[in-house]
Amino acid sequence: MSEALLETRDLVKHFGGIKAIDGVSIKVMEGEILGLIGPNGAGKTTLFNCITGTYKPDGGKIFFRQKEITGLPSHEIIKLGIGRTWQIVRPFKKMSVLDAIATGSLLRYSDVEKAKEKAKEIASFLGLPKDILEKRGEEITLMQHKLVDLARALATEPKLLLVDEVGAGLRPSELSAMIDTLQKINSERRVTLVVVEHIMRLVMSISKRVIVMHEGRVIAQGKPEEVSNDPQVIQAYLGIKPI
Amino acid sequence: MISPELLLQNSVDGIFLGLFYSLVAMGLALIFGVMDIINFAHGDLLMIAAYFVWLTSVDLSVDPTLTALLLIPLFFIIGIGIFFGMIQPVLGKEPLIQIAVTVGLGLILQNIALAMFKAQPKAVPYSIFNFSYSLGPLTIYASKLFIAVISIVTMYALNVFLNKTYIGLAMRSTTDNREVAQLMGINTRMLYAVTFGLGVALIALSSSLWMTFGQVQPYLGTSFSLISWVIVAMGGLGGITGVVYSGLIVGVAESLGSLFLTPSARMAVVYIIFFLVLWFRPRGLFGRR
Amino acid sequence: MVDFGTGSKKIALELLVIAILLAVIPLILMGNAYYELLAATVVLFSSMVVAWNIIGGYAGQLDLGAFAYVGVGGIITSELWIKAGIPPLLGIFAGGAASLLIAVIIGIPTFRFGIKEVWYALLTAALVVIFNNLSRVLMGPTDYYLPPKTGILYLKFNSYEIMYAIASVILILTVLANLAIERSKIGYYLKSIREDELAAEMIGIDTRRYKLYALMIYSFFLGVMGYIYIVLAASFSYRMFDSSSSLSIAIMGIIGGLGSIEGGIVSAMVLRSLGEYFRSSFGSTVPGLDLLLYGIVLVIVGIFQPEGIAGIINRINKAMKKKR
Repeated sequence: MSEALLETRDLVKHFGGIKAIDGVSIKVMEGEILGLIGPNGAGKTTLFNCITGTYKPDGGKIFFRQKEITGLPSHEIIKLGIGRTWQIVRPFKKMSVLDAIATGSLLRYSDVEKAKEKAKEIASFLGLPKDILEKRGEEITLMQHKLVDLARALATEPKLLLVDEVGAGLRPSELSAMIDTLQKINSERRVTLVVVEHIMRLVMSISKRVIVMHEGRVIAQGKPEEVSNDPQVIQAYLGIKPI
Repeated sequence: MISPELLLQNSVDGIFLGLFYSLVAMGLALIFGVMDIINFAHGDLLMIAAYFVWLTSVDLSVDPTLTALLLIPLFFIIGIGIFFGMIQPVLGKEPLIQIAVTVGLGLILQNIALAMFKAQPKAVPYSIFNFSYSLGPLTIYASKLFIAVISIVTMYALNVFLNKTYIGLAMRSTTDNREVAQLMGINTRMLYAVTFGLGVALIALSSSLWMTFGQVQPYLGTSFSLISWVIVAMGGLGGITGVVYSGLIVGVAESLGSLFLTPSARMAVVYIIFFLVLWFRPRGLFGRR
Repeated sequence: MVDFGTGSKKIALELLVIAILLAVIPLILMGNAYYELLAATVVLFSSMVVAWNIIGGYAGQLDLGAFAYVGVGGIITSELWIKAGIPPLLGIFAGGAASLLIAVIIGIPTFRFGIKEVWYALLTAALVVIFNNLSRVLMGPTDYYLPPKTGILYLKFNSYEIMYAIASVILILTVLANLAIERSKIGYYLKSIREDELAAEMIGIDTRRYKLYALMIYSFFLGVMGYIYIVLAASFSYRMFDSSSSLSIAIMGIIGGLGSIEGGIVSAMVLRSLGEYFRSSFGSTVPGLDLLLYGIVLVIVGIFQPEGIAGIINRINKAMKKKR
């Protein structure tokens, strides 16, 4: 039984009177693609924010590679090897795409020229066309934004990548491409992925394992097929009691 | 040695002063809370309003406080004008630019005042509140008491407004969470305009009160701006009570400070309070999540 | 304006243009001491604006306290000479260090991640006033004068032409520092902090540390320039801690265009010269006209062209590219 790459124990986070996360304990195993689903307000993005240090948890602990990271500042957590992408893309509008990705590489390679080389390599790995590299952040399409987001995060050479609703707004063909890209990242670059997603087609096809959250708690875990047939999960999504 | 009577007198005066400062800061706090903008020209608007008070008061030969009746609605409209003219166009832009525009406004107001009125301070030569009465060892100055009372009444009315009227609730919910407020159908733009107008109107009221005992010169705004920022920083987004408590602290600190320090050193004390708040209790300084 | 391209060629070309401009001006003004002093002052101001660009343009912090740093550095350097006999050529480093220290004290609490930009702006504005009041208490209202010695050891000459040359050297050094920052890791990091602080943290950037780096470089430069300012002004007093001048530096930086070295220089030269003209022609009848001008231009730029002069140049460049 291998040790978990990331582990949360009884994680709690509230805002005012609302418990966004109410005792969440999960394990992410190295090398897997873990799906994280649940209705809106389940606490998925809050969980991401706690892991990356944007929020300080009100209770519980988080471990990465068996070291405790609860309460560390975000940039230190990233340095330890966790990366994230954004639900609503956060481009560096006035910088060129190459510069944006290179800024990510600078974390591991302090020399600007080397960082740019690495950035070009990541860009071509993800299939970003060369002519995009000189365009500024404000000049590219949504799908390209998402790839640049991924590239920038990958540039920091994370062991674990948190992917937050990357499928939103993509056309079916783009969605297929994104599925392939995520799988490529996992298999060729050996990056463990946790994928938060509403688009079932995406998350169910690439995840080996799925965790379902509802109202701040984990209500189911298992293989995609098992979880989709779980009555509690169905109830959470549809709001009706199964017969 | 400082006698207990003197200490008491200064403390009481400090409370009155603090209530006045709370009123002055209220407009800034309202705008900051609802719109996330620190208006750098806050104090300078007070200065301009004070000149208006002086002009009206002298021309019409009335007590400065009466000018408030005219100036409050006037400055409400001016505030809305400033909002649509200068603030609204930069709302989407980077914060540095937003702040810079209000800095520019402040500079413009200061130097227009300097050009028109020159640097000599102006004061209103009369006031109906030029009396005082004794309460044991204390002297209660009618003007200070009056100002404190008006401040309390206004803030109470503001409190009612924020809690009981639609617009007020709209302002509070926008302070709490802008996106949700918008989703609930609140017309943010109009709300911002009204908020800004209200903030400026409060400034106008403060300036009428100020002119019952103070003077105006083109750089009056600097100290009022600073005091307001300190109060907002300390009070955070704690609503009216936060502003009142902070205002009282600043007022009493300054009043007691006058026993030991020169006027410019007193200002330095306020700055140092600001600095300490920043180091140790930056509650109000963190933006919304 | 010509498109300089990228890389080392760009740097060489820019420096050449600046050097030529700087060399030409004395030929035009030679002989008239008033204009020579004005030119030296304008060039020094331009250096301050270019230095300001590091904290304002690259790091995106609205610093309104330029003359707190100028004053501290200048006065420390001068006092070290007057009281301890340390020649300013060495003393300016102590002056710069003193300004750096002050800046860092302000920066550490305000640059914590999540604190809104506005508080740094307020604190720096307040800083100038604090120092103004403090130094008035410590130094009194008198004007202080530097010893009459001249020479390179003291960075002080009676000829304004030479002072102009010194100011020009400082300008070039400041420009070089900016260029070095732009092309290095710290430049990329600062730019991304300005773009999106949260996203920057999420790629491992310690936003507070890098803002502090920018602040340290900026304040050190200003501390050094403070001494030259005193030489040009011929005396110093508590009045050196001047709010309007501090605001002016920031305003010129914004009008020039955040992040643009050329924009800052052009904006500083034009606005400062114009301001000087207003002050000398109308100073007695309409005081504050120069500041009024700065305020109006700032508001107009903020609303209509927030990218400033550099933005206008970019547009012209793009339009010219299309025509080809």
